[in-house]
Amino acid sequence: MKGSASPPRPHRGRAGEALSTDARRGERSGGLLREIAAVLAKDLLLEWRSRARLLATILFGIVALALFSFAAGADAEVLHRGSAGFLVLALLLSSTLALGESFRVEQEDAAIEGLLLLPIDPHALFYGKALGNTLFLSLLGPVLAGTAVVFYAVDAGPLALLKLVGLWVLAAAGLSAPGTLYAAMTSRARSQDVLLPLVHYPLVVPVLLGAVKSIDLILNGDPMGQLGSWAALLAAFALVYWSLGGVLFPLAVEE
Amino acid sequence: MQPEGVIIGGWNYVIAAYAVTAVVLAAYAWSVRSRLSKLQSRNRQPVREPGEPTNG
Amino acid sequence: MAGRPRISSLSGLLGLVLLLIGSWIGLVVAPPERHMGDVARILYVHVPCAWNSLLAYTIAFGFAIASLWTRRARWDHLTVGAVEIGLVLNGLLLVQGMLFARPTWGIWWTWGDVRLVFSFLLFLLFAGVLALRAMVDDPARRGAWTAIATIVAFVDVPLVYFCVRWWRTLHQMQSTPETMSAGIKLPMRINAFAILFLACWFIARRAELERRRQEVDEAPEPARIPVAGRRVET
Repeated sequence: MKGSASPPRPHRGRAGEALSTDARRGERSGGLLREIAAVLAKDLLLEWRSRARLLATILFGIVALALFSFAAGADAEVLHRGSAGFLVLALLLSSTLALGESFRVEQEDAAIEGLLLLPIDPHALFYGKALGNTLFLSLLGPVLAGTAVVFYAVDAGPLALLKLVGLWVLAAAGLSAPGTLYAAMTSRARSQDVLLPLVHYPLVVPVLLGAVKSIDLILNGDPMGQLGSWAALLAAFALVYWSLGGVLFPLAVEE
Repeated sequence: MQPEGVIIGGWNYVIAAYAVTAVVLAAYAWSVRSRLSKLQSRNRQPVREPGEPTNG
Repeated sequence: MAGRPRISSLSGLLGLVLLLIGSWIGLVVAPPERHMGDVARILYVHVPCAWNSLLAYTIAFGFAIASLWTRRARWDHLTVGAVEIGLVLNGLLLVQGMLFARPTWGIWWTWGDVRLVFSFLLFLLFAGVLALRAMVDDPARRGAWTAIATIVAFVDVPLVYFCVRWWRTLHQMQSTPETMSAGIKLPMRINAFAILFLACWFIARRAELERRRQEVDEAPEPARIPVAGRRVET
C-alpha cells in the first residue's frame, strides 16, 4: 500500500569511482569494515577536493567564538568562566554546517541514489559517513581550542589536554551519529536548512550538557570528582546512537 | 521555600490553569473534528470521471 | 474497523465526563493542601497531563516500531496521533507548570527545576518529529521517517532526564501523590484516567484524519494517467 504510493525516482545517478571499485573489493572480501573504510575514504577525498568548504566551516566556528565574546562582554573573568560553553556551542553550530554539507554533496546529481544502488551495505554507508563527520568535528577541536586560548585565556596542562582531547572526540562522536542519521533524512526534505538544527539540537542536549560540564571541570577544577560520570554520559549517548543509527539508517534511505 | 507558611489565595492561577487546559483541549478537539468532517464531505463528492483532467 | 469510531467516541465521552467530575472534586470538594493551599489544585490537572504526555510518547514509540516493522500506513497514522496528543499535553503541562511556579516559587520559569527543564526539552524533541514529517511529501518516506524520528527521540528521553538531573538539582518540589494526603489523590487519579480516555479518543480521531488525508492525496493519481479513455489499474 505504501510502496505503491511512492513515485518512481527519476535519477539513477553516478557514484564516486573510487568507492565503486573499493566497494566491489570489499564485497569480495566480505568485510563491513572495508566498506566503511571505502565510504570514509570517498568522503575524505571529497572533503579534500573541496578544501574551500572545509575552511569555511572552520572559519565559521572561529566567527562563532568571536561572537560569543561580544555577547558576553569584555569581562575577562566572565569569558573565562563561560569558555567551556562557548567552545561546545561553537562545535555544535559548526556541526550543523558540516552534517548538512556531508549529505548535500550526495544530493547533488542524486549521487546518493547511486550509492544505494552499489553492492554496498547501507550500514557501511552510515558508519563511514558518521566516522567522517566525527573526524572532521574532532579536528575542529584544536582550531577552536587554540582560538579559545587566545580569546578566553584558557590554560591547560598536558594531562588536562589529554582528557580534553578524549572528551572532545566523545562529544564529536555523540553529535555525529544522530546528526548523520538526521542529515540523511533532512537533506531530502523541504526546508532542510531549518529542519536539521531543529531536530538535531534538542536531541543532542545530553551531549551539549555533558561536554560543557566536563570541559568546565577539566579547565576550572573538579573538586567533587564528577568528571567520570559526565564522561560516562557522553560515552553512553555515543554508544546508544552509534548502535541505533546503524539499525535505522538503512530504513531511512531505502526506497 | 516556605516550610511553615501556607500560600494564601492564588485562585486566579488555579482558574487560569484549568481554563487553559479546557480551552486547549477543546480547540484541539474542534480542529481535529472540523478537519475530519471537511475531508469526509470532500470524499463524499461524486467521483471524478476517469479521463477528466485534474489540477490536483 | 467499523467498531472503532464508536469505541473511541465512548472513550472520549467517558474521558470528558471523568474530567468534569475530577475537576469538580479538585476545585470544589477537595480541601486546600496543607502547605500550598489552593494553588495545589493546579496539580490535579497538571500531574495527570504529565503522566499522560509521557504515556502518549511511549505509545507513539510502540506505534513507530510497529510502523517500521509492518510498513502498514495505519501504524504511521497512529504514531502521528500519539505524538501530537503527547505534544498537546506537554504544552499544557508547561503552561500549568508556569502557573503553578509563579505563586509558589515567585517565578514563571526556573532552569533549576529538573522536571520543568526536562518537559520543555521533551516538547522540543517531539515537536521536531512533527516538523520533519511536515516537510516530507512522499507518503512511504514520510511514514518511515516519522517512525525513525519518533524512535530516535524516545530513546533520548532517559538520557535527557539524567543529564538535566545531574546538571542542576536546586529545588525539587515534592509534588507527587505519595507526599500528599489520601483525599488529594482521588481527583488526581480521576483526572489521570479522564485524560487517558480523552487521549485515546484524540489518537483515534487524529489517525483517522491522517488516513483520510492520505486517501485524498492519493485519489487524483489514477485519474492522471488515462490511456485511451480507460483508467489504468495500478
